[in-house]
Amino acid sequence: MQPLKIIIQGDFWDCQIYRGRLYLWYTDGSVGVYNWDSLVKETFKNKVDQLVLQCAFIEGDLLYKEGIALIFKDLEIKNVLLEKFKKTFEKELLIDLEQLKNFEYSKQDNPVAELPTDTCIYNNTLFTITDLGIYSSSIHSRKTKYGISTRANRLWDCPLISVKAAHNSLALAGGDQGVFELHLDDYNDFPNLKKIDKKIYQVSEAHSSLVNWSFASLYSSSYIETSFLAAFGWEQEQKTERKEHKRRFKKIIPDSKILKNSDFSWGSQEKIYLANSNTINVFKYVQSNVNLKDENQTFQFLETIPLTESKGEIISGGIAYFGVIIEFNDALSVLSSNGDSLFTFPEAVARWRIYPRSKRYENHLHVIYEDRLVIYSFNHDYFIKQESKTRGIKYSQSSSQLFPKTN
Amino acid sequence: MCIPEDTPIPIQLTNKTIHYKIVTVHRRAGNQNKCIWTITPKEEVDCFQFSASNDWLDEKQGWGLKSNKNGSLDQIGLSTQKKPLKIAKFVDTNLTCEWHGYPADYCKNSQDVPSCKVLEKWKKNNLISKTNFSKIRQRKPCNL
Repeated sequence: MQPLKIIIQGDFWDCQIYRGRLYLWYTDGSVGVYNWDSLVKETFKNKVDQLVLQCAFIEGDLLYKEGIALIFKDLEIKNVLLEKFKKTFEKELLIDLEQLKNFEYSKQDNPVAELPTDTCIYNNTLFTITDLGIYSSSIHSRKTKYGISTRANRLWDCPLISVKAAHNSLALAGGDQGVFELHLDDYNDFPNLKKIDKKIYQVSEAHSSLVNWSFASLYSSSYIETSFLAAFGWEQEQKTERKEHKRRFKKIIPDSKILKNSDFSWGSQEKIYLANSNTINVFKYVQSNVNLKDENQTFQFLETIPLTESKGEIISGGIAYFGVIIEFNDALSVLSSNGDSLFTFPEAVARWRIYPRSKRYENHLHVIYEDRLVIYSFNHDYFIKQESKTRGIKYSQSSSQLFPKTN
Repeated sequence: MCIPEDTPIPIQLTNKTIHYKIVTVHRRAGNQNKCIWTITPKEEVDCFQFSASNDWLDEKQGWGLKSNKNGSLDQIGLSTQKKPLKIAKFVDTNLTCEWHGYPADYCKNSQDVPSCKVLEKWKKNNLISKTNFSKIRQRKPCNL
């Protein structure tokens, strides 16, 4: 099943999607906020089936919902829907800047001085990384005419590379500075981590190019040195009359302990991918076994995926429900979660984003090229058995407890 | 022309004279912690002069490139991991107008990432693409 795509023409630098709004950073230093639901519905209302638009681009969790699986047991219904997706794939869905402007909520100067190195939206707050540090700005506020508050609050002055939010904390990759956590509330206490500031802890001094959450733990990937899992676990503590679960740092586990000799590895939630020049080895991470001394029980081998076509050095990776994203110097590939497809987009990308923590856009892959943003929508994962899948994060109705949803 | 190492060389700019020093430690492969130049000392000085004349130097630091006749960028050095490097970093830490430089490993070292201002100038002058501008900011390897 081919992914659907919407192409937005323009010179973009970064993008985010959150609670029905599309945020676009332009290379000229401005930021536009757009009403995504209306943009999609209105622009393509006479061109594309409304149910497909809704499922593919507006409400990505619709087909995961309980009860839908029952309906798909009726092959006649399932085939009708698949046919609708197929027909949409054959259509070119294009949006130019003029059409985009019709759905503009606001356009403003970027609230921070520079083009962002990375951005992240969590709990109605935009976090922006630049060379000057990390900033927060409120979004979705009724008090301001702009989509993003014009007042950015600098949280820390460390030059960082990437940010990912969960558990009311920001996981931060700081290159040669190491890996950090910045806590957004006052209820944090990590006696075995180095405290940098009131709410900032250093998790590791080792080089980190990007960091992802693996349940309570962090997976740090590096283009330079060994990637590693910073293992955290939950501990029960007696506080006066009631028991509390506290997240506690356990240990650093380098990727060489999972698999000897890998060039680059990345992990998120229960999956870890370790790549060599022509294979990717997949491991399952078992968070509940993190306290066990035997690391074979923490990391369970699942499969080896051969990379038949050589596209050069892997420079980054990501994991979504719909599959595994692999970035090469001049291409972006997706190993689809149904196990039978490798989609390759043979063009160097400026930036790509996935939204596995969102409620409605977990099936999106946003890719920024020199002259356009392409919003891919993958729609095969609803029809496969989540228990046995090796490519991509397992979707479960209860995953929201372990993997807090953000929008 | 033989350019002496560790000796300040005067560089005449339109409004002032500054000095540049070829530093021995970035010319010998023996030190495993240092990136080394693979271009000649004269090319290193030319690279600095090109950077100064294009206003790619801030008060204390600057960055440089070596473009060729085809419009693409030449390798200027090697990283400590023996990977090719194409961006030069120049520093005048003590603000004495006496600069020196080394091949910058922006993937590895935070201080080697060119400033946003300089990257914007490079993109404006078509020396780098937006794609590579973005990758450098994210400290990802890229085909410069």
